[in-house]
Amino acid sequence: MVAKVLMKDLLIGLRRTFYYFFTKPITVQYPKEKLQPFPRFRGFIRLVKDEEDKFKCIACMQCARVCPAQCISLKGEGKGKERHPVEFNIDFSRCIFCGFCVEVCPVNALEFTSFYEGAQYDLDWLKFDIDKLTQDYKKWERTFKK
Amino acid sequence: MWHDIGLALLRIIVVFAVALLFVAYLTYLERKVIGHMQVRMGPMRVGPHGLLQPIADGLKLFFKEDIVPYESYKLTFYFAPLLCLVCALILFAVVPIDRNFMITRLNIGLLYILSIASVGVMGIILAGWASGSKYSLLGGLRSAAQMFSYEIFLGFSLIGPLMIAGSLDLVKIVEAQKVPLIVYQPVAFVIYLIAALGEINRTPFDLPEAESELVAGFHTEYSGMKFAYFFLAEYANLLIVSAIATIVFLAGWKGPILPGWMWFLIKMFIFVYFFIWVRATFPRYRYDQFMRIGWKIMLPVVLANIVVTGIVMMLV
Repeated sequence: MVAKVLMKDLLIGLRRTFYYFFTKPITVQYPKEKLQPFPRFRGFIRLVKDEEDKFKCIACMQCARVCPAQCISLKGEGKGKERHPVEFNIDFSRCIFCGFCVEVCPVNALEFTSFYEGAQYDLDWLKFDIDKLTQDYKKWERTFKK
Repeated sequence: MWHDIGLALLRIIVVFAVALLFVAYLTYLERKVIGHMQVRMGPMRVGPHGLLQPIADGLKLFFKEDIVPYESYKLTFYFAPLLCLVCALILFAVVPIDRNFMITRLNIGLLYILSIASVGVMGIILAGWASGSKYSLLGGLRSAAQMFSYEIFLGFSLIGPLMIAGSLDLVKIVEAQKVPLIVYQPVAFVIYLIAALGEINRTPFDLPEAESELVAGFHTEYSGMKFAYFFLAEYANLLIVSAIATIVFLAGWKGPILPGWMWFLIKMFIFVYFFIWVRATFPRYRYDQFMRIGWKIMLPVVLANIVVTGIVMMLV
């Protein structure tokens, strides 16, 4: 009865909101500040080169075969150890970022980056050819905060 | 004579410019405070920390298409928001910001505020009726019942303090307070705050515009500048209610060190903050609960408060 007269429940509610008023907002001001994605984040896919600036890829076509969205197409050249891709296209407008290609690759020639801002005005931008796939994606990433 | 008129005009311009600025930035304050209470940030993009947001909102509303529903009563439809806004703004005329700074000093200032505020309710009812929409009509009817009944408690809760202060003149009420009246009249103070929430349609009691039930209640059909008038009127009423609470219960401009107007604004914004705080905390009451609180709890309590105050004053 006393608690009801003093509106205890309402005061408890008010105290709660007042407490949260002084906590730090959890908002991330997206274009200005961004969260660093987790280590195994599935961002855009990159074609890796080894130390001598040669492709690790041996053009075995396994990635193109396993891709459920069928967005990878490539052409290889050479025999045996010399085999390397001359064309390698990934259409990121169709890619579903499932990671099968990265998993299936026998020489680890494909890897995930943390780049994820694929929203573009230009659809062709998303159709990556061999040059674009080997670029350092860091140049599109603005500086990460936090 | 001309000197007096000039001075009065100057006061009117200053008070109204400041009042409208406050009203505009009250929306910003509200969004910020509620945002932080919900661990968000509120507006951040327009200007530094979103400071230009109210101006952007105002411009947007100003240039919006003016839609008038086919089924509406045209004249009343145009007239209702104006009535609301005008009634809210002319209340600032008697609010004493400092001992000597007010537009006009009325010896029935408090009565003036209560009566004009109840005319402002008509604007909402008219808007609900003139829109020609069932949601608006329901909102209007609700506000009719709500605001007329809560006006009673608002008025009664002020009677206790008035008996102690012995005047309806807002300046005299402040001057009569050696100690802020909240000390003598805590019950009246609480009842006043609750009734004020009901009177200005703010969140625990925002039944006339209950979004989840009535779309937007009485201003469902309004858009653009006419909607902005309702919006401004609502926030102007919030300021007025806070100002009266400051004057009657917290001794207005009185306070040490700082100049009077500053004390007045500080105290007023404590109330404004409280109303926003309440909005961030409580959900809406059901309509029957709302009426039950009013008629079965608040009315007896406030009447008892008047009686007890009278008896104590007789004895002391």
